[in-house]
Amino acid sequence: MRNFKSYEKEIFRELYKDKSVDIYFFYEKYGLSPAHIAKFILNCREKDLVQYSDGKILLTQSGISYVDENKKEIYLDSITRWKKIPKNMKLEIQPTIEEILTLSNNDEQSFLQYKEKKGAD
Amino acid sequence: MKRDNREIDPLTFKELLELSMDVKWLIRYNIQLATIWNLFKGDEERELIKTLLGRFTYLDSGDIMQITQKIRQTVIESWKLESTNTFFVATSDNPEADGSQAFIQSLKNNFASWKERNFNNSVSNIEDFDNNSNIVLVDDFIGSGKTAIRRLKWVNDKLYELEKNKSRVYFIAIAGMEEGINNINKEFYEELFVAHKLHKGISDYFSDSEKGKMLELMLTMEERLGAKYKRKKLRDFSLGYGKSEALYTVEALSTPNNVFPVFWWPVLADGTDWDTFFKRL
Repeated sequence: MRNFKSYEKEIFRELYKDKSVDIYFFYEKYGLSPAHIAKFILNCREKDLVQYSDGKILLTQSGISYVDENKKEIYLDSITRWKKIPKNMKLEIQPTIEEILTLSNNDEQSFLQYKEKKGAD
Repeated sequence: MKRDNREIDPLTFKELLELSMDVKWLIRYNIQLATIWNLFKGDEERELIKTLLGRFTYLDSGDIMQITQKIRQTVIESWKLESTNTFFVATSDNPEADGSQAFIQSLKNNFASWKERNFNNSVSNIEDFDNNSNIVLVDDFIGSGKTAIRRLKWVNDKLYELEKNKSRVYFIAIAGMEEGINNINKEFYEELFVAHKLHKGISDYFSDSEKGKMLELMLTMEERLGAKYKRKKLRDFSLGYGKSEALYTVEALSTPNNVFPVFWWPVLADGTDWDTFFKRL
């Protein structure tokens, strides 16, 4: 399994959709620099996954197969582990939606009252 | 690599992309490439920048590793020097770290069985070497050859003064301008090894009819740079120190001042700093 950089995923997805894409499109839509695209083309051209001609990138037949083989990595965004809250740090008692609605925003007092009522630490 | 949020038109985007594909090391310098492209907007100016970037000798750590292997071969197989009486000496006479000292450090890795005493950071150490020693002077870059000639002369005079007339002197460098290497060869008979011989970026490449025009164009482009930086005057470095017209740098080392200043002079004519390709530390 290969770890794709986010810009590689973006380019592969667009190429898989349209097969031939103008390089400037990647700058307009994703803000990719000429260096991002040059690096992508050089790496992929070596493996015969893409061709470059006059401002357009073309996904080759082996490029299409490559995207098919790596669909999971290219289309699913990987889990960002640091964003996951460890189980032991989660609040044990989950408030219901009605209870949340009774709490006003930024109202520390009412939140403390809620915790007291529920007996949470 | 950072995403680009600056305004860039489709034609320029294509030009910079194709240039980065041709000159691969530019991929790591995308911000600097865009900056120089914005500073020099004329077609002829951009064409010259593009041509010169394509002629650059850009060495990374892998290249330096290969060079040190070649040096090992030269020192041990061609020159037949041995660790018992051979001393690599950085040409530096300065306590501050410089390119020659950094190069000495890289050499150590390829002479694993040699000892610490075989590698010296300053020419002042030669007093400690026995007569019958092989002294290999090490520098990262030869520009006009003046510094190398001065060092060789100093070492030879010192050996004479210390009556160490059985010692031999050698000289190695990562790269050097052809003109500078010739100047050394004219004055000394010592063995000299230079891994990359470099030509003048404009004068040695363009035809006689184009050469003058291109040098003029470069001088016009230099007018976009600040006339002074700290205590240095741009005119002393015009077309590179000693008019060397060098196109050379080693990743992570200070770029020689012999390189065209448009690639490293840190201030513009209006006094503002700009993001140059290379830095001089």
